[in-house]
Amino acid sequence: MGSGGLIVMDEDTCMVDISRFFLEFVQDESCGKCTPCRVGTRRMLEILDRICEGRGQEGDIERLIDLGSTIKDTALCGLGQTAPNPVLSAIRHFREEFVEHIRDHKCRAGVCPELVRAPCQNACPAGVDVPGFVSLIGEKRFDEALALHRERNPLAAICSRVCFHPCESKCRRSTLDDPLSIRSLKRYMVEQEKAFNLPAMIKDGANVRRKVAVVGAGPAGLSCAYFLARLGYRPTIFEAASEPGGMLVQAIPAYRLPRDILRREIGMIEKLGVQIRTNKMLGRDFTLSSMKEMGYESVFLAVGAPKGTGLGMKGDDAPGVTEAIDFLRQYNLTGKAPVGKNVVVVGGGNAAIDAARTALRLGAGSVTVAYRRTRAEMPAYREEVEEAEREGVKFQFLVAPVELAQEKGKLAAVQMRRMGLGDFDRSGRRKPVADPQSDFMMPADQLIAAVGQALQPNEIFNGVTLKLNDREFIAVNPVNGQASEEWVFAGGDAVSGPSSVIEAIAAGEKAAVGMHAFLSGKGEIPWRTPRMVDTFFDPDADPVMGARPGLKLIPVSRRKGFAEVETTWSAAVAMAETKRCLRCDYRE
Amino acid sequence: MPSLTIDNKTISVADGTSLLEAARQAGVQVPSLCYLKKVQAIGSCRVCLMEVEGAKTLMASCVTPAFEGMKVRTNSSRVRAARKTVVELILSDHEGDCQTCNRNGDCELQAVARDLGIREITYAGSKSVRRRDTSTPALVRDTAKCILCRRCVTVCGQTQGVAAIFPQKRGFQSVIGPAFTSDLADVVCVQCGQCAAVCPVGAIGENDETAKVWAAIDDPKKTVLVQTAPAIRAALGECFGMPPGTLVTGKMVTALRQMGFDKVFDTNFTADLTIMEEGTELLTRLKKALVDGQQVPLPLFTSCSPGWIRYAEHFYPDILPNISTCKSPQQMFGAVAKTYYAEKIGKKPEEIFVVSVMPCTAKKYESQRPEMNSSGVRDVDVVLTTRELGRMIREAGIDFVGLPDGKMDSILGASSGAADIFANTGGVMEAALRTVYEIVTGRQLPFENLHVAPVAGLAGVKEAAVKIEGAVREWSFLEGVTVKVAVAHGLGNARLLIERIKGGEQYHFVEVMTCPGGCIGGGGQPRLTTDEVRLARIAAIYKEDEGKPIRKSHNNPEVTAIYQEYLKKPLGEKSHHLLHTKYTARERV
Ligand SMILES: Cc1cc2nc3c(=O)[nH]c(=O)nc-3n(C[C@H](O)[C@H](O)[C@H](O)COP(=O)(O)OP(=O)(O)OC[C@H]3O[C@@H](n4cnc5c(N)ncnc54)[C@H](O)[C@@H]3O)c2cc1C
Ligand code: SF4
Ligand code: SF4
Repeated sequence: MGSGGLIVMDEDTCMVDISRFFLEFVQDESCGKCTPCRVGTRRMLEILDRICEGRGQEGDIERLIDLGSTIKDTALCGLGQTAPNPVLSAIRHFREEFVEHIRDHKCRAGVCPELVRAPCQNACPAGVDVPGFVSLIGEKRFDEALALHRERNPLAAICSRVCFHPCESKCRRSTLDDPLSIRSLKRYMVEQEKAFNLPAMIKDGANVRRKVAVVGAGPAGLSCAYFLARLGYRPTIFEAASEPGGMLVQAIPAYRLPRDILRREIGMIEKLGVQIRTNKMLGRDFTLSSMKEMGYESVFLAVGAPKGTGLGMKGDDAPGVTEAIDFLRQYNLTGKAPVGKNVVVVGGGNAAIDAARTALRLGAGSVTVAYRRTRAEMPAYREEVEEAEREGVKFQFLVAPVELAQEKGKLAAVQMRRMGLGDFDRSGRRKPVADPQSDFMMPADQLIAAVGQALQPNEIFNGVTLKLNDREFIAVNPVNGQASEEWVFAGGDAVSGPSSVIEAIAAGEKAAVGMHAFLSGKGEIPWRTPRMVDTFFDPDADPVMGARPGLKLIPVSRRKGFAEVETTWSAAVAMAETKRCLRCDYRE
Repeated sequence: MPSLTIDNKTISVADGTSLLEAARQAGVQVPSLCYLKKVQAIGSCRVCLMEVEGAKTLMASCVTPAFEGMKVRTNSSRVRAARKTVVELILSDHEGDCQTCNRNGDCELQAVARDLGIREITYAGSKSVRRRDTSTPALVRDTAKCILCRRCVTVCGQTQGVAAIFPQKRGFQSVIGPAFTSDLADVVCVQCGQCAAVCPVGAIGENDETAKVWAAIDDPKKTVLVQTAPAIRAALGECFGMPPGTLVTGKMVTALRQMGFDKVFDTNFTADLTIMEEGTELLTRLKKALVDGQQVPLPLFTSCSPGWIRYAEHFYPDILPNISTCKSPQQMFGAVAKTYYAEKIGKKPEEIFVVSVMPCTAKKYESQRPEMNSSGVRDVDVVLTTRELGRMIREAGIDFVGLPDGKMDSILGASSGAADIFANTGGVMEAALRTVYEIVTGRQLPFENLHVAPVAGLAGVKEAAVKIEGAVREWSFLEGVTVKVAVAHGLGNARLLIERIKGGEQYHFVEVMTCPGGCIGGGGQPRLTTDEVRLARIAAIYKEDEGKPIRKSHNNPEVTAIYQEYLKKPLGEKSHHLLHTKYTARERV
C-alpha cells in the first residue's frame, strides 16, 4: 500500500480505517521539521478520523486527494513524500467505501465503531435493528418486535422465508460458536402476528396531493411505496404483470414463499393508501413522457431485471430450450408449464435451483443442474442446494454447454465441455478454463438456462434517455437513487442487476427518502434515527451458552406439490435462541 | 558562474548561490518564512518552492543550489497551488487573531498570505497546545503563534551561541522552547531578544510595557523623564515607513514631548559619562599593572551590553573581574536622574519616573536587576523598545514623518559624537580611544576623521593597535606602549574572542556588544534587521557623529558640569556609589 510491505485484507478490513492507521503511524515518525508533513499529514488524519466517526463532509475525499498529492510534491524528505500513498491508493481502489462512510454513515466492513451499532444491523442492507427485534421476541413483545422490524423493512413475512440473511454472516456470536439464526427467529416472530399494526405515518396535506408513481411492484417498488406512504404521499404503483410481487410472485416458487403470505403483506402496504394498478406496462401502456403529462412529479423505476440473457450458442433457438425466468414466470402466473423427461438446468444461482426443484415438482423424469465451477462457488444458497439434492436433483460441476444438438427439430442433447479452475478473477472466484478435448454429450429434451438476467431499456424508456451504468443497468446516485433525469429515481435489480430481495427493499427506502427530499426539500426521516429498545440486558452477565438450532423442514416424503417446505420453530426453541444474542448494540 | 533560466530569463550567478537568491537577483519576489539570509537556509517551511525541470517533486529554493543549465519556474500553477496549500496548512495551526496581535501590519506570515492570495483555510483542524511564557521581564513567548520556522533556534544557538531554545517532540507535537518546556527565566537565556528580532510572526516579542508609561504620564505627581539610547534615532523612522538609516533625532524629540514627557533627555549624555569612568578605569588598571607591577585583570571588557553581562555570568564567570565595573549608560542615567537632577529640581527620587527607550530587550531585564537602585528606588522605571515607542507614537495620533525637529532638554541632554557611536559595533572602543589617547598624549587620536577604521564594520571579531607616542608627564609610563584592542559583536563572536584570549592572545581593552552589528541591531529594533539594514543604520550613526560640534566625550560641557558640581572626579566616591556595579556568577543550565 505504498509504504512497502504487503498487507492482506479481506471484506472485514475497512479501507478508511486502514488508511487512518497508516497515517497515525506517520504521526509518530514525522520529525516535525517541514510544514507539509507536520501539519499536512495531521490534517489528513483528522479528515480520516472524522470520516470514520461519521462526521465526514462533502468534499473530504477531494480534500484528501489534493492535500495528499501536495504533500507528496512538497515534503522535505522521503517519509513525508510517501506518507500519503496508502491513503491515495485506498481512495483510488476503494473510493466507494469512503463515499459510504461519508454519505451513508456506513462502514461495510463493520469496523468503525461510531458507524456500527451491531455488526448484524450493519450488514443488513436495510439496516434492520436485529438485536432490537430479537430481544423484543425474547420478551414475547411480538407486536413491538414486528413494528421495529417494519421501521426499516416492511416485508417481514416475505424476508423471513426468502432473505439470504447477510446479517447472520456478520453475527459476532460466530466468534463464540455459531451465528444467531436470525431469519428463523424472524419467521417465528411473523407467525405470532394476529392483525397488522400500521406503522407511524406522517400526515401532510401537501404531500397527499403530490402525484408520485412507482413502476414495478417487486420488492423495490413495494418498499418505496410503503416508505413514501409513511412520509404522507399516496403513490400509485404501475405493474406490467397481472399480479404484484415481482420476482416474489413470478419466480420464487410457492414451496418457499406461500402466495397467501405474499398477498397478505402486499395488502398491508395497500392499506397505507398505496394503489396498485396491474397490467400496466411502461413502454407499452404509458411512457415516462406521458406520465409527466399526467402530472406525475416524480417516479421510481423498479422494473427489475426481467429478461433472461440466454446461452448465446448454436441451437439455443430450438423448441425445448427456455429461460429459467420465463419457465418460472409461466408456471407461477398461469399454474402450468411443460416439462421434459431429461431436464438440464444450466447455471448455479437461485434461479437455477428454483427452476430445477419446480421442474421436479411438475413431474420431470430427471433434473440435472450443470454448473461450470464447483459446489463451493455456487451463488445459490447452500440450504437450497442441499434441499434440491435431497429432493432428487442431480448436480454436474465443472461443465459448460458448448452446443445444443437437435433431432427432428427438437432438442435432443447438450454438448458439454469439462472445465478446470484457473486463476482468480475479479469476483474473487477462480475462473473456469475449458478443456476442448473433454467434450461429452448429455441427453436432454429440455434445457433451462439460468445464466443471467438483464434490463430491457429500449422497450421501457421509449424515447427518454436515462444514463446506464457500465453493466447496462440504470445509473443512479447511490445515496438517493436519483437517475440522470432529476425527477426519475430507480432501484432494485433494475439498478444493481440481479441481486436480492433485501437489497431491493433497501433501495426502495433510499429512493423514497430521495424523492421526498426532491419534492419537499426536507431531509428529516423519523425511522432513520436509531433508538435503543428498552428490553432488559445485563452487560456483566456471561453469554448464555447453547447451540444454534437447525431449520425446521418437512421431510422430503411429505413434500407434495408446492406446499411450504420450511415450518416454524416451537416457542421454546425460539425463546432460547433469542438469548444467544450478545446484544452488540448495547452501550453503557 | 553557473548560468540558468528562471521563468524564461537567463541569469548568471556566483557559484554556490541558492535558487532563491538567484531568483531574487533575477527580480523575482520569492515568498519564504524560514529562510534568513546568511543565518538560516533549512528548507523547512516549504514556502519558497519552485519547479525545476527534471525534478520529481517541487524544490525548496533556499536549499537548492543553482546549477549550470537549470530550468526553473517560479510561477507555474503547480508552484502557486503548492505554496498556497503550504501556507494554508501553516495558518491552520496558527492562532490567527491578527487584529489584536502585536505583529498586526508587520507580520511576515500575514504578508505571505496576502501575497499568495489566500482567502480561506481549506484544511482547518486542531491547533497545537498553547503555552505563553511571561517569565522574563524582557520577552513574551506564545507557542500558539509559532510557525516552527526555527529562525529563533538558529539565531540563539548559532549566532549567539546560547542555545536556550530548540525544537522538541516530533510531528504535530513539535514545539520550540527551552528544554522540558521550562520557562525562559529558568534557563541560560540572556534575554537579548535576537529571537524576537527574527521571529516572522507574533510568537516571540518584547514584554509590552507601554501602558505603564501612559499611566505615569497621566500621573500628575510624577515628573516623567525619558532617555533615548543612541541607536534609536537611526531606526525609529522605520516604524513609520522611512528607509533604514534615516536619522530622526529631532522628530523623535518632538514626538516624545508631544506624548507628554516632562523632559526629553539623552542616554548619550551618560554614554559620555561612561567614557570618562571607563577610560579612567582602563588607565588606572594599566597604571597598576605597568607601574605598580600589580596583578590586575586585563584585558578590560566593556560593560554596556546587559545581554553580554548575563552571558558572561552564565558562561564565563572567571572573567567577571575583567569586566568594567561601570554601569551601562542607561543605568548611569537612571541613577544620576534620580539624585543629581532630582536635587536640582527639588524633587525626591520617588517623584521622578524614568523611562528609557532602548533598542534592546535585555535592557528591560537590566533595569530589574536588584542592584540597580542606587537612588534608593528603582533607578529606571520602565524600559521601552524602539518598537514599543513606535506603537505609542501611533497610538498618540502623531504624524511622525511630518514632525519638526526638536532639541533635547538640558542638563542631561548634551552629548558628543563619541556618544552617538555607542550604537554600533566598534563605537564604544572608538569613543574610548578618542578620549584616552587625548588624555595620555594631549593630542587628538591619529585616525582619519577620528574613526578607528579597523574596528568598524560587520566582521565578527576585529582588532586594532595604537602606539602611544609623546605621552604627557602624568602618563609617561605608557610611552611607546602599543595599546591592543579587540571588538566582538554577537555572542557567538564574543565566545570566539574570549577563547582566543584564553589561548594567550593579549589585549588591553575589549569591546563586546551582544547583538550583531551592535545596538543598532538590537532585539528591540524594528523588524527585520538584515545586514543591509545594519549597514544603513551604522552609516547614519557615523553621520550623526560627524555632524556634532563636539566629537569627544571629555569635551561635553554637561559632563564637565556634573563632575564639577556633583561627582567631583571619575572613579570618585560618588561615582563608585552611583555609576559602578558588580556581577554575579550564575549557573550554566
Ligand atoms: C428464481 C429466483 C429466485 C430468487 N430467490 C431469491 C431469494 O430466495 N432471496 C432473495 O433475496 N432474492 C432472490 N431472488 C432475487 C430477487 O427476487 C430479486 O433480486 C428481487 O426481486 C428484485 O426486486 P425488484 O423489485 O428490483 O425487481 P423485481 O422483483 O424483478 O420486480 C420488478 C417488477 O417490475 C415489473 N415490471 C417490469 N417491467 C415493467 C414495465 N415495463 N412496466 C411496469 N412494470 C414492469 C415486473 O413485472 C416486476 O413485477 C431470486 C430471483 C430469482 C429470479
Ligand atoms: S533572548 Fe537571546 S538568548 Fe534568549 S532565547 Fe532569545 S536569542 Fe536566545
Ligand atoms: S518562535 Fe518565531 S522564530 Fe521561533 S520558530 Fe516560532 S515562528 Fe520561528
